[in-house]
Amino acid sequence: MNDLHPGKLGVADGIALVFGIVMPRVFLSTISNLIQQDGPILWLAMVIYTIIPLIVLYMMAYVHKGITGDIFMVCQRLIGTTGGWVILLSYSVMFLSNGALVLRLYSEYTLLTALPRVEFQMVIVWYAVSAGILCYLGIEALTRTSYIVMPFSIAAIGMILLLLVPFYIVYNLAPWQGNGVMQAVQTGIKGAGYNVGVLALVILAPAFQNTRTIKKAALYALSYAGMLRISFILVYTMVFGNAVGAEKTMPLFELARLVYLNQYLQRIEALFIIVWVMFGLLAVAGSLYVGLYLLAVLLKLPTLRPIVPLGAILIANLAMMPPDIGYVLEVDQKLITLFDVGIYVFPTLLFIMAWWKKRRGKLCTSASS
Amino acid sequence: MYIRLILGTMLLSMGIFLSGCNGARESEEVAYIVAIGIDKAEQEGMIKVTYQIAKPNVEGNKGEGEKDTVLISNSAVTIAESLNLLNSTTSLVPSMSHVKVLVVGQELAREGLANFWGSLKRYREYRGSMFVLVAKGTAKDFLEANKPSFNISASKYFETMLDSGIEAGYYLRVSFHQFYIRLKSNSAESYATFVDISSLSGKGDVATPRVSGSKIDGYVAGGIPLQGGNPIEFAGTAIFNGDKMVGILSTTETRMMAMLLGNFNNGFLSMEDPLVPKKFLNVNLRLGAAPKIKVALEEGHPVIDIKILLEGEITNLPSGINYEQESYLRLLEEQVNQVCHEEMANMIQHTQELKSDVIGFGYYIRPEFTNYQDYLQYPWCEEYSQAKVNITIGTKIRRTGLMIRTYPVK
Repeated sequence: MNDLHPGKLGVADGIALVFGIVMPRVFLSTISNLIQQDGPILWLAMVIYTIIPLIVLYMMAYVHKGITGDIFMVCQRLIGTTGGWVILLSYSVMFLSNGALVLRLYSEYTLLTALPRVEFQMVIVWYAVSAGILCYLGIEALTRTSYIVMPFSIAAIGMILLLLVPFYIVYNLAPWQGNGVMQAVQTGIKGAGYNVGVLALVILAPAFQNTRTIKKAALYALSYAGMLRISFILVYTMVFGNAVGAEKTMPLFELARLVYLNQYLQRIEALFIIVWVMFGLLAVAGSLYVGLYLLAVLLKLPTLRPIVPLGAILIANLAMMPPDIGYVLEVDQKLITLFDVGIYVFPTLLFIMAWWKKRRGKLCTSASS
Repeated sequence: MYIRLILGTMLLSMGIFLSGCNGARESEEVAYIVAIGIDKAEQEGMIKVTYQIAKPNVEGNKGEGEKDTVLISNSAVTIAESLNLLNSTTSLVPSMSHVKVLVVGQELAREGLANFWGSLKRYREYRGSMFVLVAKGTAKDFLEANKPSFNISASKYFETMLDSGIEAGYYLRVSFHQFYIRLKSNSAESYATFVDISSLSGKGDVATPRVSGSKIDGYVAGGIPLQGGNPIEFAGTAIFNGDKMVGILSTTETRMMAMLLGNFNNGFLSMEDPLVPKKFLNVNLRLGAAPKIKVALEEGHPVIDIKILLEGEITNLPSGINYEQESYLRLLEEQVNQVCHEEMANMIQHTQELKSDVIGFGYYIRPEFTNYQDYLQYPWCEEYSQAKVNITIGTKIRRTGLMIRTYPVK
């Protein structure tokens, strides 16, 4: 047990970690792009989008069951050192690029909604420094902060969805097949990569108590995130419909802005800016931590702390590279292919190798770190 | 130890320097716009924008006769440019984040709103919760003529005025969000509250004559026989086809529309006495349940089935006939059914003629399609004008007010 592998993280930590990494896209433009593709049946895509990562996580848990040690040791045992390097480097790139992308999008939306007069670089730096501090404090601090924030965030989003009841137009969910069931299934399969964050549990497996903890955490985290996402999609579709729903840059912010019950209960979105800023920070910090952890494992570093500032500077610079928001959204849509490799290709490869080796009785456990 | 000190210092300094207060402005430095009026300008291709700006130091503690707002108008090609020009005429920084109403002049509304509506939805200071009004004359005249009778601020006036629309159902509150989603939807057409300035002469101008059995005529704003008080009238509904205004529904038609939208809170209905037609009687009505609307396709054409349940309370019975008795009560309920049925049928026919499905029957036809593309290809706007409509009104007089029987006047 060391800095990297405290071995003390429980189910609650796991839930908070995964929830924090996979949820923030609800607040971003991903939903608007998807509703344009799928129409009123987008909720089905969200169901698939939630189930696939869960299956993948269980496959990875199976892989981990036979081999103790960190993720690099597992890969090394199954596909060799070079294969392990390729997989871990790829995952590191995925998490760091996800962190950079989320950092840029949250900075843009902070400028757009809350601080229009502040310099863009200042917001990026603020997010990066805060995420860096969270990472520096370690995985326990990160997951426990996330766990404290999580119930308030869920309650806040749930409250917005309920306060919008007067705006629901249930018929916006029809025609029920939307742009086609197959289209929704395709979106669900293709979009599952956005949930690559769930693999953080497997990647950080030695930091958790045992495999059962990981499975349980994944089940709860994805169920909560899935339920919230599906409810969100249903309400979003009912309130805005297809055409207007596809126009929105920030779906949750727009929903919160719409709350108007009477003269006294309105303009509540300012409160929710805090919620999504916290979500954004945790998502950036979570992605940064996992990305750096993978590098630390590869380079056999005893601790993560010295590379945290470098990592924060790296993602801040990456985030500042795209010239405009349109380009960022384009990159976001393209990155899904990379995330899909992370959610489908590597876990399937590792699963097949583990299954094959177990069948041939070649697998034996190595020393735990 | 040092690292904790550094982290603590960083967090503290971030809290101080990044709290957002560096971009803050004192309220007296900001021109809070309460209402925006948009009209067609005299110059070709330009619009006249009128801003009603709240005086921050007066709002809330206005003295007798003191105006709490200032009106400023300018002409520009776009609303954004008009705001730039506004900035050149006021020392305060204009802010649209507190705009309560958008008033559009009828002439501009009939030409189409698409050109400038989109920009409003994109800019963060405009909110979906602003209300949309269409003024019969110009928006500028409307805002100038608005002199609330009671000592309340302009923003509060608009808010309470539009909130109270549900009390009679003669005008409906329409938010910019509701207006906008209908602009982009194939299922319904947009509508807005219709407003005008009264001459205060006490002379009325009937827009829709009373139906048989009713004692009430339909008015539109500007036509209500009014004397005294604020000359501003909120009455009726401006209805659109796409982004263009195509007609106006009167007060009685708007009430039927409110029933179909499920927004009818309550309202008095004055009718002929079924047994003594020269006399009248009043019933306070409300919706007993949400309207049941079904739209089916028969040989490709829509058939609309409407079932409305109304609940009522007798509030006036000058004839002295004991309608409180069960046998007479049926007569009364039948009379309500007949009046509402005719008014509703007339209203729907009016919207069909104008090809403006402001009720949103198009939403109810969506389950008839399995695929969204098929639905988009269905020419609902055209089909609506030809749709067959079946209306069933059921009324239950639940209460008889504070009297259980009536003795005739000697």
